[in-house]
Amino acid sequence: MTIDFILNGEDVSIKAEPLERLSELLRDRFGLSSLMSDCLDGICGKCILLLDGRLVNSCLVPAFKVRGSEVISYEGFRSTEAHETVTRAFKEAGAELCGFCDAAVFMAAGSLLESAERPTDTDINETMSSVYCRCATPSVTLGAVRNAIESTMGGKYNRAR
Amino acid sequence: MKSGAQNRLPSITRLSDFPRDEAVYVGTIRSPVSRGSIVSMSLPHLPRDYRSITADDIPGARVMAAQGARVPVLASGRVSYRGEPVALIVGPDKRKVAEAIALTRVRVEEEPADYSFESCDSSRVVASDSLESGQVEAALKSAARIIEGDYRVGPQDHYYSEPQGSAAAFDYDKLVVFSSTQWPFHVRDSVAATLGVGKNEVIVRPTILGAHLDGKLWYPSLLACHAALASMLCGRPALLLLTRPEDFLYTTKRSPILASYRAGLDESGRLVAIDARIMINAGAYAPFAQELASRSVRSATGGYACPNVRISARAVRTDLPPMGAFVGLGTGPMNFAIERLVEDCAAAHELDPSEWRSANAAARGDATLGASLKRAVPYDALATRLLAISDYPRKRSSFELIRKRRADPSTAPGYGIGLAFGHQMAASTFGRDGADVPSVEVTLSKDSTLTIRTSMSPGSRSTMDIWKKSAAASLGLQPSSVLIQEPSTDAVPDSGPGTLSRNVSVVTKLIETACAGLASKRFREALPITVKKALRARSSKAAPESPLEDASWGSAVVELELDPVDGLPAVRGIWLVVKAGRILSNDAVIRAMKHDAAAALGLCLGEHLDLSHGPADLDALRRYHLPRIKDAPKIVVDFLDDDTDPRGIGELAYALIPPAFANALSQALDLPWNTLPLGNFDHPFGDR
Repeated sequence: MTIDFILNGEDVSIKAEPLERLSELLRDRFGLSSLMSDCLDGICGKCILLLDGRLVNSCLVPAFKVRGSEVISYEGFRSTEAHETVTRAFKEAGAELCGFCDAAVFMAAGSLLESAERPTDTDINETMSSVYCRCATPSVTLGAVRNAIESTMGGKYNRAR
Repeated sequence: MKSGAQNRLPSITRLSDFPRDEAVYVGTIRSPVSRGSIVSMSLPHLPRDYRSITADDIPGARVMAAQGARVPVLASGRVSYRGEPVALIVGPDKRKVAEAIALTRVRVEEEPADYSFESCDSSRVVASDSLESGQVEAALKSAARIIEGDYRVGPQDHYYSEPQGSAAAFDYDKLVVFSSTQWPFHVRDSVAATLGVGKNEVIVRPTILGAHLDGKLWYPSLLACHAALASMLCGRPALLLLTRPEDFLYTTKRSPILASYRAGLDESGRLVAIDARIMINAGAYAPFAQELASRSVRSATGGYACPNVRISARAVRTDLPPMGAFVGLGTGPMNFAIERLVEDCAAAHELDPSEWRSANAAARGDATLGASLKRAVPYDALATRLLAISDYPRKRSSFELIRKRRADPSTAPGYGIGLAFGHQMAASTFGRDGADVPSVEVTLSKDSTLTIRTSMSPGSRSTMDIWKKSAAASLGLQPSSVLIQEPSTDAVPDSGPGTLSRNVSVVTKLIETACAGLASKRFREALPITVKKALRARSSKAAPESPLEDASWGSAVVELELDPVDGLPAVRGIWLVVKAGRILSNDAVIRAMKHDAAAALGLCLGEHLDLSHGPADLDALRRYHLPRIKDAPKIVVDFLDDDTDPRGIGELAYALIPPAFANALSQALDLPWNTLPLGNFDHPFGDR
């Protein structure tokens, strides 16, 4: 079937099997190397992207589901202000990511900056737990995201107890 | 080497980024059973541009050397574990390759498989080691009290940042192999032997490792052989990248260990005898089995003094995927065993666990492990700091009161705090027939740029920063003037594998020594100057040295609470104090220790894999619960001042957290907990 959708701000059209995994379609056919086809089971989160503004594991999304939708992968997210804020916060926190999960971690953190309400520590932990990688240092990740939220939404971060 | 193709060489940092344009995909046909003889293999009709590769297509050696083991590159005749590579299918479309593999039938005359290792006949023992001193039987007979226990640590998956794989492409007459490996020269030598070509005709360009937990020591070499065969036989670049399920089901795991102890104590609770029997599941082919057995023996008494010791370790071949290293070799599981044992020893004498450890810690001159210790183990210094920052004495007393005064003894007290003490051995060599020697080469150029060359891949940016800072400080340079050469085998010396125990302790020292040598020549010789330093092997005539010498030491406290509804333990806090020589980058080391402590909780809780009845299946992967950011408790790390040379810390948290956790859980349950990971924990008072 032919699938039309918006990918990183551009109208695209491609012939694909309806049940083809979106992660593989985007990686193999559009060359989006940020998407890691890892667990193929929604566990690792290394293929997350924004589908109509929602963070999803693209390995669990069949290709037909994106007809008429807007997809933002890390390649699109990279040019946003949120990306700059997030990467700066991670660098300042001394976070050392492994080179495989970086894109997913930054996108997950970036999605929190778009929240209508100020995210709590629980929100941060839940969202950042959607990406699994052995390289993460939890307290460093939490600190980095708190700082990114602080610099975007202003004010002192209200740390949960 | 004749390739039949000349390619523009890709430059990649991750295997998954290997360009697909002209590449062929390599898929693996695997043994459907755990043990047997191959009768036949029927392949579907393969389209043009597709081909199969079997052992008969291998032009060179059909067997790969892997740390004392001989692993078939592709099985022919016999299979030794389910999922063992039997043949390859290669072609330009990965879906068609997968379809062809699904349609291939491998007929095997199946034989009864053996997955057990806790007891076995001697024919399956592939490696052993032992240590005996004093009169163990006599000491046990005269002991005031005997404490016994069986301590089990299960298998564990490395769950790498990127599943294992390899890619290969010709660059004119050289075959370039891309491999996410800790040991580039092992890959090079294995590929050259398999292809039957000279070592210099193969270049290995390591891609980034990510988190590997020492699981990428030898297995990448096997996959590199597959990719290299495909590239050579097809005359095209070839990519083999395992999926996560393939990686989980068929690649190496941590060796499960059973340690059975009998400890004799005198009236005051002092250790007078240790009798330990260690059984190790080495899986098929058993790479690293001897190293596992030897290190387990040398770790079996922890940091404690005991005049009468008898320890034996046996590594057993089973019909499971090959087992091996996981953040060190055997030392973590043995620390779990000894630290659970000493907790039982303290409890039997109604002594405070910390006081018991203090009384039994090895002093200067102690010869429990054969050689006399030059320095006492630093238990008291570590404990003083640790007990203060964790509030262990007060909390433990409170939890003991809860335990003793609870109204219903059939319920769990619910609160526990556990202590553990342990060490990370100084790194040693474990090379190919003794040829593996860690080495470093430094070159100072005319423009005052210093280049460091070693094949021991640092694995992390902070380790590279430590190397740069250390070298810069030695020569009065800015760290920005120090470059670390990409560890391609044509650009760095053969310097053995990079491991979590070696990267800081060995390499940093070698860099400092090489830079000192360079400084002495700097104003006397013309630039560029190159100095190479290698770790000097101990002379066979040198006096024996205790395995505890030059170790890093640490102590940890874990506090937990059982959930009143589901009974599951929730870790409330972790405290760690470490003594590991001079700290070169405080922030980086604290981050690393916090990372390791959080990751080590996976070894305690959800990373459970039961291989006692056969190899893992996909359900096991789905049930395999990895620790997430939201699972992490508060973690506090502190260091003792120490001006001695920097030592490794990469294994410490993995050795300390599991026993501290199990000691806390034992208090919270009011029953000894001697098996990790927990796995299914539905009924705390039911069968374990």
